[in-house]
Amino acid sequence: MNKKTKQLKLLAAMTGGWLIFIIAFVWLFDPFYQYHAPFWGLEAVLYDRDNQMPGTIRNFSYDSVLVGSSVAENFDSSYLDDTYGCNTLKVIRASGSVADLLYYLDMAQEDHVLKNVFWCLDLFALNTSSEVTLYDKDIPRYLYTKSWLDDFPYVFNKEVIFVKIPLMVVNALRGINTGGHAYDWSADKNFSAEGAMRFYSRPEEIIEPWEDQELEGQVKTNLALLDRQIEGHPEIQYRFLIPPYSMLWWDSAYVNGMLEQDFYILEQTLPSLLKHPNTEVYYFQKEENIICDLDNYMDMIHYSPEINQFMLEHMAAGDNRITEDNWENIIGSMRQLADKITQKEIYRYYK
Amino acid sequence: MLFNSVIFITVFLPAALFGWYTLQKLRNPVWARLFLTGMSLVFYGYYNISYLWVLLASLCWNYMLSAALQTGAAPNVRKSLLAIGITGNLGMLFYFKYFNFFLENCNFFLHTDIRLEEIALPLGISFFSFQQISYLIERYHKRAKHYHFLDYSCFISFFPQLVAGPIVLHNEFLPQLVDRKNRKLNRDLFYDGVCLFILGLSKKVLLADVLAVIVNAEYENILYLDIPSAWITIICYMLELYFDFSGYCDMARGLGLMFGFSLPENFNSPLTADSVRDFWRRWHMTLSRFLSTYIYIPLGGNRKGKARQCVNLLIVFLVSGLWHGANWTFIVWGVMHGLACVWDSLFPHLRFRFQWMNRLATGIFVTLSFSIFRSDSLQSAWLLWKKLFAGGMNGMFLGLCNVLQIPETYIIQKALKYLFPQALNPFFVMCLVILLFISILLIRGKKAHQWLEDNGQKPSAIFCLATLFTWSLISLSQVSTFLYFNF
Repeated sequence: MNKKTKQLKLLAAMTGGWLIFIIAFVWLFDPFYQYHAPFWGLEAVLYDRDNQMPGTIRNFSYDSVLVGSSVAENFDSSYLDDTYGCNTLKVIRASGSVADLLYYLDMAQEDHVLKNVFWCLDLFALNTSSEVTLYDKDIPRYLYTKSWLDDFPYVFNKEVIFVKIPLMVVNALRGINTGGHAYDWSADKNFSAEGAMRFYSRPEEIIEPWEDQELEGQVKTNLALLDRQIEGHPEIQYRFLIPPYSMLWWDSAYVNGMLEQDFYILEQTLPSLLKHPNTEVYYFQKEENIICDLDNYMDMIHYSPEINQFMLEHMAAGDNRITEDNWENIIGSMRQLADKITQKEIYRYYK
Repeated sequence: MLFNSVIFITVFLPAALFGWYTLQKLRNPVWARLFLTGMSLVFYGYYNISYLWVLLASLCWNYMLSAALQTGAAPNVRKSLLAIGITGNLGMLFYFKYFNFFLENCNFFLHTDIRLEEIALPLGISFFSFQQISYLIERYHKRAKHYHFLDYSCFISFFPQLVAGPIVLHNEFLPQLVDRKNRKLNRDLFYDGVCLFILGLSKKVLLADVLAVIVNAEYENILYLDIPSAWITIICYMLELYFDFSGYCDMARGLGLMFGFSLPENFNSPLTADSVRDFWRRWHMTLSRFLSTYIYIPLGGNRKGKARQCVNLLIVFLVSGLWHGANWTFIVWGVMHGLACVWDSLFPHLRFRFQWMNRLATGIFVTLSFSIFRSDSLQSAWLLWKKLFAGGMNGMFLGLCNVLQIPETYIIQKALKYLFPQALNPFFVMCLVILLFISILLIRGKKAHQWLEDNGQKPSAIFCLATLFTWSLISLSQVSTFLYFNF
């Protein structure tokens, strides 16, 4: 055999050896859980929301989901497991987009029978597009396909090998983002009035209320999507939590002329959700002690994990629940609170 | 399609090689050539399908003129045909590359308000235009024959050299294409080609792209640079450009060898040159050859006295600057090199006693001049030069080193951050020093093909190549483009 033919074969064999080693290494650790749930005895480490979400939905074992945006990431889902006797997976989309979260729910229901859906519902997300945005150019397609043929950028990826896998191992050893604290980002964050105010600048002139032409259509379409999901699965118990954004959020809506739009969404959403027999709604927006104390926040909407826990405990105790009988009164008191915030409370922080 | 892309390495290249050698087994070589031309057009069209029409139009235009330049035609007709051909090529180049630059300058100097057009620059247009101008001139001088259209298309569109050179001449490629013995897979050439491709890929992905992290970040923040960070930035750019372009050329030559073609060398350790003239004998050699053959020598070269030689040199480097891009930065860069070559030519004996000092002086000049080449405008180049010589010290150097957060060192960075946070900055400085040390080692060391000749048969070297290839392959998720594509 020609000498260089031998060398070429040796080169091919060595390269093949390296590639097989890398395939085995990535498959074994599988940081995005594309191929399997953690092996027996190992705990899942969930620290990379968008990349890990499709794999965990497909390959993990669970019977309940906790759905929401970034404000839902700091919930301790093990509390739900203990309280409701279930096994909960967090299903998160940063924007809180209803269409995206429903896409994830459909994915979950392909191979899982769900008992509970705990949905931390961002009302502002109802006024966004009802199209699925998960196929954005920044999100790799291979995450959403079951085929391994398109997994090349996952398996042969320097960042997966040198960053994601080591980070996964270190987080596992240090107990970060494990158990009920999947995707919890609260460590090292500064929850304080000063921190929250840094993200808020009030315009000098207050904008007159204005009409958003797309509002009605988008809210209607998103609520219809929710209706279809709830009605299509009467066996699932849906519990919606309306999270408490800070008074900065309410003030921002007021000064930008959008307060009535927010109340419009609220007035449309509550009765729409409450009409279903398999739905419970818990309302936390008018918790004055929480929303007017900016030390609970790191910006306009993101609150500390203690508030997440407060919501879970109150939901478990049946507090803050709204019904078809009281939802109008609750909106009325929220209007009063919004007035109080924009006329008085905000000036404690904003001179 | 980029050479350093997964689609190219895993799908396009194996398919092209398989098709080429399978069809070569047929008695009629036309099928293989047709296939290779087709694949080259796919390669080119993959960037942007609309570029393909420009390439095809250019191909047909030049081929028709070549046909018209039959040896029997009257001399004045031939001269006119050559003039039409060159004008056509330069006209196309002017429209796509310089038209907006021209309008911008008209607006600026004549205070007009002509609206600029949105013109996308077809990749590699400067390369294939020059290649075809060279062919037309050779045809005019009856030094090239009129080839079959398929052979000509195969030559011009041959994908390894299509978008960023080297600028291959007809007599370097076409005889190899028609040579019967080249129709069979030559395993020696194939192995050398694979190895050269791997070395080029590694230069691009593992060195140039890492240096680019620093360069891109710092060129965005020229205002904040101080003296040390400004110098490190321009040194990193010089190294990036060298590894980027020479890596590309190694890959191109490697691919050529895989298909059985030997393409000309484009670099010969240019950063060890001891004068600017020497630098241009080693840097982008096929462009220097083109400019020398078709501009410098026809203008009289050094045959018409010193003064004329100096003017000729300046003209050549002005053209070289313009060839690289439509911006005053390229023109100034070209003029600087022209003046340096004039200096070399006027005072050939005015040199340092020690060779290393000549090399250092050349290196500093080249690095400084290329800092203008990289700048977006003359204003930002001027700002950078002010930082280089009067930027003071503001601690930006540590900020520059901190940019070097590459995945390979991620776990060390994290460990240091938690355990010894005070050691994090020295660690990044160390990474930069190692990167520069490796770069300098490679600049001074053997050329890729020489290294392969000496070591290519050793198992340790083969292991090293397999490792480099795998490392490069897993780095491809961060896709980057080649700097010379737009020239």
